Amino acid sequence: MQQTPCGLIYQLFTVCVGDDLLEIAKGTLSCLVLLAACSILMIIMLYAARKGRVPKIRKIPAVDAIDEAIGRATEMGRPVHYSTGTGDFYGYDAMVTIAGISVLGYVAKKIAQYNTPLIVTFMSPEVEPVVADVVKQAYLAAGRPDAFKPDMIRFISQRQFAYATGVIGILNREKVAANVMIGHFMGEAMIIAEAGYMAGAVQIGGTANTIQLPFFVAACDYTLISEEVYAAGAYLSKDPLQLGAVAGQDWARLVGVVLIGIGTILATLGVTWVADILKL
Amino acid sequence: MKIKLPLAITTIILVLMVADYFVKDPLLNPLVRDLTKAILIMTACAVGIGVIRLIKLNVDRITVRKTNRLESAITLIAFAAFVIVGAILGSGHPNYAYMFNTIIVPLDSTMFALSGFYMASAAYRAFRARSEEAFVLLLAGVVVMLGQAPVGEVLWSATPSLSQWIMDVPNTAGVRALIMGIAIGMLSLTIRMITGHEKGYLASGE
Repeated sequence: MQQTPCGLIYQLFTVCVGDDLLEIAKGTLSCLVLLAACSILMIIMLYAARKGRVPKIRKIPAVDAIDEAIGRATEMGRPVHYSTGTGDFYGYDAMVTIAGISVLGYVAKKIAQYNTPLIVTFMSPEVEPVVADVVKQAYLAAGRPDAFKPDMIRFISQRQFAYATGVIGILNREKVAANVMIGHFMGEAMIIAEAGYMAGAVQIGGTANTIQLPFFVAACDYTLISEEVYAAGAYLSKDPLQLGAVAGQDWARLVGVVLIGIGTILATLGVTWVADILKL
Repeated sequence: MKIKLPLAITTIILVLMVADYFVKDPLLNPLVRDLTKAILIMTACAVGIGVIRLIKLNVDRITVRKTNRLESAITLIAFAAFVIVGAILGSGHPNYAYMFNTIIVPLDSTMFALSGFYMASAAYRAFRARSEEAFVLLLAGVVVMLGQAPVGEVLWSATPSLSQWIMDVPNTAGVRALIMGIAIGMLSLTIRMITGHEKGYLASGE
């Protein structure tokens, strides 16, 4: 390898980890380095929070609106519908499904305290035991285990549009006052969100699917955008350590922005080594 | 222990999955493949649980709660019909395919087609120029829509290229920023899970 920045990085890894692993890591090296750097940044912030340096994170209006939506449903004596979407626990949609379930725990606990009806729907059946357990424990934590009813947790169908149809039926028949949708959504996002609007529900949507996000923005009252979906659980928990990791997330994003800025300027000047390193 | 054991399992699996992406190892890669197969087996079991719950809910509605009995009866009859025909004739049989193609496919298409009308009504609300940002959105939306329709080119020959520019430059830049935020958000959630601070997905997270 010649003495270019890329060559130097390869040589560094040759010394550190040996030729075999170097060959294996080729093509994913820059990704691994960035992943490690961002992870270290987040862990530092997390442990700084443990030592009392609790970071302040910006307000997320869509998450703050959850209490307002539950309050409205309570006043009207009508149910809250919560959907974790079409995601499951494997594949690229697993993390956003987990993020949705984290928020569900908070929503269920609040609802249990106010004695408001709750309906939870999802498309993937493997989500069902986890969702049922999270809701049940939330009712227990709120001191109202008797208020938990198994039919709050509704598996409708594993087919996308059959699921959407079922949810539309629930929104209309049960006169839902608040509709919270946080998880992975596909083509049914618009159908469910617009049906919720027509049913007169306050709507909070959040997804990591960039294709469906504009539909939520158009149809919902509040929308969790991009990393807000993943930060929502930490934001609601008010756990300083989790907030530390969320603050680390902001720093990691700053690193990304700086890299993009430097790369853009250098590429405009005809210098491509930043881009070359990122291709490693 | 009730919390620590699931957290330990989560952490080990997460680290293995991440390592599998970066490292090609004769021991690690097959192990992760087997773990993925185990997930599929668990999924199959979960389908069973979901189906049992679905039947129980609808039977309860008919026999105990006596609400929405007609809808519940239709659900159970349709479910039974597909299970019986599928179990006796097999899911590859023409009769099963006929049922699927004449019931499920048209219903799916109908629902998907409805999204067009829903989009129109949502766009009407979103595109009202109540602020400067909403006005820009309205303008961009109109140009992109005209660019996709033949009438756009008739009205002004530059409309399709302007529409394409909006999609390729400002739209792509925005989407990439979202994707970057999503990736970092995912990483933050993973770190919280690995370090055992994110317990919301565990029932006893309190």
